[in-house]
Amino acid sequence: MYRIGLRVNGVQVITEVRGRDRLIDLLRKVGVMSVKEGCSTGDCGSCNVLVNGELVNSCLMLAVQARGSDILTLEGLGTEDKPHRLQLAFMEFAASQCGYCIPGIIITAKYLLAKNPNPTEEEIRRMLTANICRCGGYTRIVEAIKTATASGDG
Amino acid sequence: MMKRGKIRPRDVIDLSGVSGLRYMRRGDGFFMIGSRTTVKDLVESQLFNHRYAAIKNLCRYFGVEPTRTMATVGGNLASGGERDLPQIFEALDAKVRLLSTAGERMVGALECKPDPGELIVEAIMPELGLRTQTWFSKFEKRAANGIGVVTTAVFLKLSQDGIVEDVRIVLNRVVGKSPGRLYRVEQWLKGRMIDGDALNNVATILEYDINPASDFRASSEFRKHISKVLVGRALLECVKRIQGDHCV
Repeated sequence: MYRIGLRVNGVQVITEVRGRDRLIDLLRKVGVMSVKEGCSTGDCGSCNVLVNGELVNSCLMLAVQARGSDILTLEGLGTEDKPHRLQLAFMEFAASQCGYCIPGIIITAKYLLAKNPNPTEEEIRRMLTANICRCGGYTRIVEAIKTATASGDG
Repeated sequence: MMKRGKIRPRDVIDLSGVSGLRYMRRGDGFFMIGSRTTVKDLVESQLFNHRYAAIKNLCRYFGVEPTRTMATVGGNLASGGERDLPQIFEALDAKVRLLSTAGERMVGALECKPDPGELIVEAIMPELGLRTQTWFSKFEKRAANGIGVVTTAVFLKLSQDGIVEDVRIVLNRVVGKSPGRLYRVEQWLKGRMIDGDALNNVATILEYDINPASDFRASSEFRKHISKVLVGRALLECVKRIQGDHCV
């Protein structure tokens, strides 16, 4: 077992992990349940999180590789009382169907907006190749992200 | 591979903390790219100008954003299966430096198979000069993030009059499942103009020279056909870009 420290949504976490544990295993162990396991091979993006601001499949990164990092998941984005504007836009457009892929998609969208505050539809769709929505609800997802980009920064 | 139990390593050494291997430098007419450089670093680097379209195109063809964030130059050079960087580096005439306690050696990008105890240090490639261009493209069965059915990397240098002075063409499957150069096509093209007739001849030589393996993604015949199309398009794209290049 390895004892590692990292910041999850601004909170310092110190925990023990096995060498073979992945970042997703660690996150779910400490109660971050928005991070979903889908394909486990880096195709579906349901486990996407930001590690030091970089978009990462948490099922492909070993937990020990994330030592000392700053992790952002959906839980760190907004609260029920004060949702992030991406979350508001997703509600407005009813962009979530079964919802399994949505945490990963919102994190991908958050990453896109940090990189490119005014993306075109083509740029949004290019970035969303990192995520798969099994319900096929892409149209509303893209609409929601487009609306969120028009309504502020960050 | 580890998760599916296909490989069961006794120990794994994590190199992600070795920041000394993550660099891109330029000097004495060469680029040096450290093995820990990520594909995202490579794609977004300002170091490579418009002649390095082959590298820039990775942002479209190499996995998706999280893949490019995690994948490294050394990892792609060392791993098995369909890979993009060895082909692009071969087209760019890169050599790979391998280091072990026994010493170091330089190998071609397509021959980079480290022995146990060897570490990939960097890829070294000559800077591209005037009237040159590179291109990389992939035919995949999905809109994105697919595994390439056919991929090709091309380097082209033209004279002032549009005559081919130098060319390197790499395909993902030349014989069986092995990537390789199209030496006969390259040889034939040197000293010629790239026009419709030349491209027809390229297709004929290519048809004769390659024998890609069939698998569940595509038959040998289909791969052959797509190879002809992609190589032809890549050459034309390079010509178009060299002709439109006002830096020359």
